[in-house]
Amino acid sequence: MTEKTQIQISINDMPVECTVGKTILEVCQDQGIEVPTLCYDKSLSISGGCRMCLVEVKGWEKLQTSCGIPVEEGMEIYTQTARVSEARKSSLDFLLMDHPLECPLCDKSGECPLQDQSFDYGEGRGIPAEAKRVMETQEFGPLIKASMNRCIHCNLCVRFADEVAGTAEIGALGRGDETEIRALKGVVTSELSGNVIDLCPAGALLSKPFKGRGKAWEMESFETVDVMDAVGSPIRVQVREGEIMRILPREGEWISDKTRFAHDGLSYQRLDQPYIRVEGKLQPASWADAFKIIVKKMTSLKPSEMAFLIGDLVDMETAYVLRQLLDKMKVPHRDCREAGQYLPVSARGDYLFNTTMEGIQKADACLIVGSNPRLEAPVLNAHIRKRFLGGNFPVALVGQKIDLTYTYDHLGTNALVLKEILNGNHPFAETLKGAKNPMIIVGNGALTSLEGEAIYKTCRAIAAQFNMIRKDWNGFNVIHTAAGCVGALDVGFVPLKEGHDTAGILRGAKVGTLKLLYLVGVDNIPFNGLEDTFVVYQGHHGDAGAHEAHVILPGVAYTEKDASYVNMEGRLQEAHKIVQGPGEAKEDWKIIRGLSEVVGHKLPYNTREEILAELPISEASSMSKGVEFQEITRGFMKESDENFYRTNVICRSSPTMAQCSVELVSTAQKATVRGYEEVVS
Amino acid sequence: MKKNRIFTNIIDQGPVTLKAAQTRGDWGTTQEILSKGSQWIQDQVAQSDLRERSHGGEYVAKKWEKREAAYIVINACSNEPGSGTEKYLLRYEPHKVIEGALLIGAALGAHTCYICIRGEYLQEREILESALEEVREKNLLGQFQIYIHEGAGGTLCGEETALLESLEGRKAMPRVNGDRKLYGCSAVIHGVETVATIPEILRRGAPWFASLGTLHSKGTKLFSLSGHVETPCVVEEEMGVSLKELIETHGGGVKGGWGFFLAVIPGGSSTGFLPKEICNDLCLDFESLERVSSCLGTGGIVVMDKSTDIVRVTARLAQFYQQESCGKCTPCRVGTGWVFQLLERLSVGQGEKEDLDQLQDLLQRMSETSLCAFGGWAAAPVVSLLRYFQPELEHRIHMYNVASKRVKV
Amino acid sequence: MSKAFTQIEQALSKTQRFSFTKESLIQIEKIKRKYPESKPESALLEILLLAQRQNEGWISHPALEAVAVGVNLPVMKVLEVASFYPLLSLKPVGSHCVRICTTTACWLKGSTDLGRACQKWLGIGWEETTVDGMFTLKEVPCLGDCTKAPAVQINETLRGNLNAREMTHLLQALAESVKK
Repeated sequence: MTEKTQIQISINDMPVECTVGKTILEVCQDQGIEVPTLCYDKSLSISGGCRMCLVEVKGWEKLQTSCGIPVEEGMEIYTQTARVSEARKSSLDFLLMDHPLECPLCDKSGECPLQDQSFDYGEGRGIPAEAKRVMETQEFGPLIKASMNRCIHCNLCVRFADEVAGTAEIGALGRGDETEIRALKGVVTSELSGNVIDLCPAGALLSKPFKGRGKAWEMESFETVDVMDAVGSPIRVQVREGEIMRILPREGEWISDKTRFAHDGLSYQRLDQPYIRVEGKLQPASWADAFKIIVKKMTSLKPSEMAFLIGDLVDMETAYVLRQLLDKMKVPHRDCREAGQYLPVSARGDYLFNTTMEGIQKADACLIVGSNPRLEAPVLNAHIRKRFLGGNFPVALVGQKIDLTYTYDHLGTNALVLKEILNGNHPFAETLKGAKNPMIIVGNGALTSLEGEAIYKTCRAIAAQFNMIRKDWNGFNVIHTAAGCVGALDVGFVPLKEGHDTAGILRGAKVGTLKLLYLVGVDNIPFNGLEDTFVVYQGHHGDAGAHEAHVILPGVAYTEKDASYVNMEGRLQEAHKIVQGPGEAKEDWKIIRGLSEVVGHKLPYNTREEILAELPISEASSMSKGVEFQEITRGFMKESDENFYRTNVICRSSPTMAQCSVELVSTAQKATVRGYEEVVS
Repeated sequence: MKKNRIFTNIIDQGPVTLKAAQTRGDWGTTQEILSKGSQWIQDQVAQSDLRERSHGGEYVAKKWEKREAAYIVINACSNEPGSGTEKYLLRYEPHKVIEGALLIGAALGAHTCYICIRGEYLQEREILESALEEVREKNLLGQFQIYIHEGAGGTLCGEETALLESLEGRKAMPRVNGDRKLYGCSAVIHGVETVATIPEILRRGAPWFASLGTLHSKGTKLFSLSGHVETPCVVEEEMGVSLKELIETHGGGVKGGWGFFLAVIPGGSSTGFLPKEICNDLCLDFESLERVSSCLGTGGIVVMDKSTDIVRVTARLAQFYQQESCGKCTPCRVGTGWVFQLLERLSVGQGEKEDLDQLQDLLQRMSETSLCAFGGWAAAPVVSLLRYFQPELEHRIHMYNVASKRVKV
Repeated sequence: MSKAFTQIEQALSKTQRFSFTKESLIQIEKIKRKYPESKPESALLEILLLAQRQNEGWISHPALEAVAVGVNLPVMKVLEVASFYPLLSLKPVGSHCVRICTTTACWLKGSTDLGRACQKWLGIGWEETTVDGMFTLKEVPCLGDCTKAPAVQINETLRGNLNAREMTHLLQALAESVKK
């Protein structure tokens, strides 16, 4: 006998069919019936404390907390009776009793749920109040500003830190009306901490960098996509008078602190006009002069003496246009894998995060090889954690031992253990065998190591062995750290047969066989030994690359151009031009287009639409067949001590991120994981 | 009455060893009862009409509706002011509690029982612990496990879901969906007195128990008499006993005589005050107290004579409830503090008559919208203050205003 | 106003060492056995009480950490629970803890006088500790002994039916016994 899954209820005398197990609130929201809430978030556990969502259920004596009570057959729910609206009024009265009425000077004003609901459902009169509660000021670190007097004890921040961020750094201490929200040691170190600012319904936790800078109604909102990591989080950029004021996630998504706070880096260290190195010093120059020098150098060299690299923030259009140019110029040496990772490109599925972030919820075992998803893609890591909390999800890690916010089996730092798993000689092989939808995640720690290729191929073999790649399930995943990488791979920006990859190009430049190095937004490579190479840097920030360059061509950043990015799941997303780039900076594809003209291989693109029409956009994620196996011999993987707040040029230029890297990284490092024995002995 | 007493040792205050308990009749026919099976026990309890001996007085049979439970939880954690009965039971009748737990466990097919005892009850915990030790030694429990869980819950643990949360190692806060499950398994929660009563019912039979008391309140009940009585004590009496009789026979009368009697809290602070007019011919049973909008509660009777400043007593209680509120839901967290502040003010008369209306309104909202029953408990004493002592409050306000105006002149 | 704040601040600032004694560890194992294996957090409250008894009546930050590891919970979760229950103290207490019940039944029988007498004799207010670290005075809600009102708990013994004079005598006797 199967259980009944659909039941009949009525809401405000309107018959509704709904699924068993849903709460009253969920059903109301599905039906578009408005029920106010302050302490509810669909991805967090239920608190039920704010009492705004009370509804009347016929036959039940008390008003019911709709966010916590599941629907039952035949329930008659009323959301608009006098009793309900009286209860909402009274809940708001209680909340405002202790809430300081300082809306005019509060940053939350204008987008504050408490304010909105007071307006919509409140009494509309002053409350004859006794003395208001006064709380101590509290520290929450460099990103979050706390005004605890405004706190309404919804516990959303506590639940977020506990359940999503997984760091449990925020707690509600004390009891009753003396309860205080506090951060452990006065700082929140989680990479997702900024989300508590959005969650807070009363302006108690606010953005510190944004403090006192503007009000919600003064700013215009634009939707675009983030490039701080390869997740490509959908974001809203808020602008006032041509200046980016802040970045927020789009509805219902979490974003990392880098995504949210690094944008102030867009106003520092910007390249606003071309530069030429004259007698060892960079001098401002005109576009024409800069091109002249590049062309002069290029024409004096053979195509095989030049190399082109593109970096982590470069959009797909640029990669495509540059590829067209290089094909015409017959330059074989080119690469987009800035970190030097091994990635085959014959089929798209070979380098994608095939399971997709949604798909993680369907997985039932996970093997992570040489990656720290917590720092490389915090939002992705939150998805893994969510799956982990769902239970029955064994996770194992080969690589550096790190705190991933969920418990995992550490299988050591050496990749040789993968061979044991492949041969079935390892206990985790049993786990994978027993799993229905197992997944494997391969990261840069493995792919950038000397044996990157062997490790990659072993991982593919493991995926094949444990039936991870099927018609209905693809459990093979590559985790990317660069937002532009997948897009560039999609347009095939990889070395020609006789060409060198990133490592080869750098080697060639050092020994002198390569005379010219053209860098498009490349700043994360080792620059030592390039003194004799003619370096052209095209990009938007004066960082490591510009420092070494002989000629600098100023480009624009992700908020200053219309551009396409493909995230690690292989999803094409569009970034939009929201503000004007600085000075004479131009969109990168236009610079290449200009260059093509002066080097005599004029490309036929005049508008972005013409490029878009040609872009090889694919949704396929097929895998190449018959990957030949390569044995791992030594199994060493790269250890990374990368600072989460300093990974690309934008965040390296950001004062906020600089402060985070001083305050948060040191705190996080201090908090060492201690075993039970250590503490008790 | 004497021969019908269940908790004889509370009067005698004799030793509590297993042997001593056995001479009092405990553990006498336990095996025999167990052999009659779970159905028999359930039927007997249902026939006896036993009601929970705290708060609302729910019928035990109704609590057992599902007829099985994995865990039995005994609540010796809720320290409602005025209720001294719990401590006496643990101190003088630990074996009845243990035996009761075993029998309930057998009736519902449970495997484990947790006795949640307040951290403050150090002595009682030791007594219970050693009683358990003896029982285990004699292997009287069989496969059934009884553990003592040391808690620190406070009054809030009277709310069953909060007790379970506390038992699961979290803050004692009520659950939103009212889910009464422990570790994901079904659990039944009882007060200490209810549990300790069950062995005697099963031994003497449901008809005996049902023959005592009134129509809706069967059997006997422990009452604790404290406050302004000559001899405060804990005593067992038949349900339906008159309050006056109880105070006069066992408590030695009100200090200064019945004429000097002001009010009474009939069953722990959450039951509110009852003034003399009502108390003159008040009987102590569930239905009589319900008729006067109060509740039998835990049977913790606090008597106040006319020397008492009733407004200050209420203010002190309001402060107590403010401190005990868990802070999860808004009305209770803010409301309890609000009420306390208002009462502090009103106790010296500082205020207006409108404040009384506001207070009334506040209390009504607090009990209407709070998440658990605690909001209602916290409101009850103040509601009764407004109901029965409003003239007193108005008088104070009047006096204060007169006095302050005189100062101004 | 912010009681929890100062308490916790003190707990955090103390750079004390804490480790469970051998007896405590055996006790912890015993406590944990009472609960299902997958639910060690049930033992949290009892282990906290154990730590408090071992650590001179209060829970220091190192003690919190030790408990957290013992029950496999984040420190913050342990701190939340520890700060919730008034029975647990997050700041140092005197060697004698005097708890006076001040709710209804005891209040009616003069616990206010008792409190005042104690405050006067010790020279401290509620929730405070004498400078010499000998006494801590606490106001508690109901000790459950209403028939013996006013009830006072000194360390682990419960006294009932006291008046202000008897109370001061008791304190005096305690203070002298320590001096000897």
